[in-house]
Amino acid sequence: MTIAPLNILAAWFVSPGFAVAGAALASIPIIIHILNRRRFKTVRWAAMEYLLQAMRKNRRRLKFEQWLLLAIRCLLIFLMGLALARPLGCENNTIAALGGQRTALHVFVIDNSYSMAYEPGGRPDAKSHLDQAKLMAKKLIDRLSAGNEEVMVITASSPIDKDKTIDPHAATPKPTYDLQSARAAIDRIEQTAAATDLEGAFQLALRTAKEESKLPTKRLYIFTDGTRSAFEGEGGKAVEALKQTGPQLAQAFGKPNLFVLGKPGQWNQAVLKLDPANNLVTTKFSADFVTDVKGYGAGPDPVLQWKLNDVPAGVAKSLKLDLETQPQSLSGISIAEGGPRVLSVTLAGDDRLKIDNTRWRVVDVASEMKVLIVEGERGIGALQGSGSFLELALSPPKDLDPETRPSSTSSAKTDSYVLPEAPIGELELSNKILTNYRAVFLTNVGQVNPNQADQLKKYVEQGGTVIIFVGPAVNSDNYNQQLVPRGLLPGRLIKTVSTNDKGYHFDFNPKGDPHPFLKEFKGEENSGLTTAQVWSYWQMELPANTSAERVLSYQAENGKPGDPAVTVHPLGRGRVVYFSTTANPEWNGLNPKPIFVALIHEILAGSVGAADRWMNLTVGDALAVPQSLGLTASPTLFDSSKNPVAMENATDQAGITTYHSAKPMTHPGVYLLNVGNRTIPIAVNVPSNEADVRVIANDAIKKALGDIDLAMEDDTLAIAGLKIDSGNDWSWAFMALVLIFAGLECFLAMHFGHYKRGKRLQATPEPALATSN
Amino acid sequence: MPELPHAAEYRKYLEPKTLARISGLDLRARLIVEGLMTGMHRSPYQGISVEFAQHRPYVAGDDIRHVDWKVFGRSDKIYLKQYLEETNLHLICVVDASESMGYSSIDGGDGTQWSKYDHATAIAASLSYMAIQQQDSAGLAVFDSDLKKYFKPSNLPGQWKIITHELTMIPRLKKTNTGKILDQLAEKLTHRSLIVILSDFFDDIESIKKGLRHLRYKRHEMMVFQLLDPMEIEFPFQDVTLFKGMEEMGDLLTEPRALRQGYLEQLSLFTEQLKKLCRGMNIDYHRMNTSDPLDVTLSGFLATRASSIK
Repeated sequence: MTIAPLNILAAWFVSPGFAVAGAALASIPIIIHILNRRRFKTVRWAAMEYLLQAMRKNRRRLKFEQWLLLAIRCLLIFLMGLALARPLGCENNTIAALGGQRTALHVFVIDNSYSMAYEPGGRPDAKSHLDQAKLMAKKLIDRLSAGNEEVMVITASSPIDKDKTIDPHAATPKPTYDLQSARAAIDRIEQTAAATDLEGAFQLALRTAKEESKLPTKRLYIFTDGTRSAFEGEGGKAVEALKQTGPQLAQAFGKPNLFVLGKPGQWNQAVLKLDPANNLVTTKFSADFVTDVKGYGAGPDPVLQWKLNDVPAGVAKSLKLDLETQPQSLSGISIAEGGPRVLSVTLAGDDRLKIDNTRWRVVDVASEMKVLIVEGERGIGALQGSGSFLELALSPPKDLDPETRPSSTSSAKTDSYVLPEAPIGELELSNKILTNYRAVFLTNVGQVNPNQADQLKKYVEQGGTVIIFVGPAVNSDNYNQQLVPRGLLPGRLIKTVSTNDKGYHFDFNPKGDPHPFLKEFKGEENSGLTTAQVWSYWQMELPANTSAERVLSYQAENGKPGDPAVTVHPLGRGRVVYFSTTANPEWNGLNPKPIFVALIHEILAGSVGAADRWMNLTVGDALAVPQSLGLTASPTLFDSSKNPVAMENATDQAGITTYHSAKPMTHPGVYLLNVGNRTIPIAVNVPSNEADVRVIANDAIKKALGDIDLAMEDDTLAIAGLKIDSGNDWSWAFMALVLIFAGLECFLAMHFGHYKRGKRLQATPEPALATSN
Repeated sequence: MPELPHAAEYRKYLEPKTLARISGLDLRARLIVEGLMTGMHRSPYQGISVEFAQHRPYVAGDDIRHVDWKVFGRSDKIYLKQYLEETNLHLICVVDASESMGYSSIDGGDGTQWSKYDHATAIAASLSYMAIQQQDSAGLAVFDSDLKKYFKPSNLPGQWKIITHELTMIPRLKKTNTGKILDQLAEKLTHRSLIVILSDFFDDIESIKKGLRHLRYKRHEMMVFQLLDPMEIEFPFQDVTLFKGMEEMGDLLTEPRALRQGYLEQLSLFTEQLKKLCRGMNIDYHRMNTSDPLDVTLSGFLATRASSIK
């Protein structure tokens, strides 16, 4: 392989330009010598004999002196160029300042994710791993040469405060050779409650190395607890990214130093998850809650305590925690009043990492759920509209005869938590603020115009639920053009399938494994789902790669799989449910039967978006107050320590103002959002993927980083193999040579008489004048 | 004849830079001698004798053997005793008129230069003037590679005019051949004489030795004045210089700073050889810097003469 000369220079020198310039400028003394030989005075001289004798006698000496001085002068300039070019290996010299370059880049990556808050004990000067990392990093910085080596400090937790001007991982905005400021930056690193983001930190380190590519030496120091969660994480993309980044790190930094601060045998117990067992918690039914608790490593059994609104719920019990521990549940909790309620689970034990021992969950208990029914077919009389039966099913009256009941149930007495508004025609849809409703039903709506389709799409993407019942009025072309491309239908409508004979049946098997929406019907032989008849339905073609789930399908015929009867698919944060038949008895025999009420309620409960999603955040998330909240004043937010958290507002093009927190949440706990007429709790939890604090083997770490060569260190600073030395300071050597040669040149020039004297000459010893013998 | 300056101003006229501006050699010589004699209270004829002539104040360079200590004891002033000259001297000034004697670094201003030859002729003329004024005979020999002119010693009043005229007329073009000239001169001289040789002696030392020996053999008294320009003595050149040698010595382009030491050593070696040679033959040797005032030279000459007569 041939290497271009400039590349060789670049490999040998920090600033090869100086070396080239030095070589070029070395010719200056020669040029001056030649020019001087050409610019001379002419003198007629009488005592030529003695001059010639002197010349003859000293010719060789003079030539030697001249060549020696010329060589020294050339060498002097060349060495000066070399010194300024800084031959590789220079790590510590003052030539850096002259050359406008620094000698070495030291990048410190300090993991400040919440697992670094682990307190192993036994370290008098450092309580947590992060304290120890900061201590060691500062000690390493103390070994650097002030003013000559630059330092970049990077944190390795998931960025929370995403400042657009600088990388959120950067503890120092850019590399600095002010070591004091680097130390101060390390002191400022805070323990976060966020997850590890080594990949983000490494990317910043690589960018920094690229920007400082001229520096000959680059070193990377990684301070991490070496836990499974940091290097193996949840698998997938993050792990793959680390594997690809590792070799790049090795290329940029040589052999990175990795300090594993975690101790073998360290353990942690954490509450990883806390959710209601069902999608919807209502005042109507008792609710079950499930929590996922795990123990990583061997530790004593903790006590698990449930709390609802800070009041113990259920009995505290001791648990043996390990990786196989099954989810724990709290059953039969009846909540009488609607609105947000704070449920929490705490593990009380001798845990060294307390931050993940409690998890909070704000549950928006539904006491009433407003829904909107859009009728494509309006009825004059009772139960004549395409959504009349649906309205009735959603909110069945307690005491009214169906035949004599008013056209709307909104004023009727009902036990249902679902409050359907009086059905509206499709033309009125555009006038409605959909975010006021938890679900929107389309019943046999013939056509949907593009604006309405956009309105529905936006609503679903923001977390709403659209349930589409089709019917004879549906224009399939319109649906296929307007709804399918917007994701509001999972597939194209093909044709209506009808029968005059016995109806089509669902393929529901009570003994099988039904869709989660239908789990209430499992084992129910007489639920009516198996016997319900459908005489007509719209056949839909589901794409092969669809995300839609079949809730119910029609029974297969002639070996062919049955057409989808009921599907559900996600769109943004919401869901769309498709019913292939009508919402009234026109095409099916469901509606007169109780199964329709149950089926509608189960599907609605399963598909409506949890209204409390925005109230449950993870550290690093920002709070966004939904428009539907009905603010009566500018919202104010307080963290768990009652400190105010800044809120900002934004007004969109439609003039609608929304509020959000100015910065993401940084600490776990229960925050309080005051919206004027009420206060809403906001739960902020630590990420669940950081809880596994078990230290993995060095080989596993190397493997996680793509099998690169790492200098593995522990949490002590013996660092025998660590080289921050400055012993290879070639610039100093060259500078010393320059000085030596400069001195030698001066001495020799004076000694040889090759320097210009002043006008006043030293008196020459001579015989006294006018003396006689 | 132009009027001579006042006695008190005389000394400045003895500076080579001043003399260089005076074109006539006869005037130069008279200035020198009159200047010198002004300090002697107009007693130009007081030489070395037994008959007391007068006192005169001591000046630098005077031989302290002539100090009248009795006068000093009475008046605390230093006076010298002077005596009437009683000798009948044949003075022959031998002047080197070769090209090298034309070297000059002394700028008298107004485009005038003061060369070694100028210095030599001024001395020769002055000495001749003094000799003739003392009724002694004065002669002249001028040479380069050959003996160009030779005038037998004479005490006729017109002799001095002849001498100064000839010294003014001689061109300087050729190489020196001192030894050969001295040989020729030795053959020409019939009377014992005082021979004053004025030259830079940039010639072969062996040849010079041979010539001097020949003259000495003929029992002549001799005084050797080696005239050197201050640049030749100090060699103060700094920058690269092309030295174009006089008397066909070739050229040399060199850095004089580096060569200075060697040159001075060579020059010093030569002058030492010359001095040693003179000492060996009992010849008075004087090395003269052409930038020095001439009265110092002549005082030295007179002092030397006085001591040799005693």
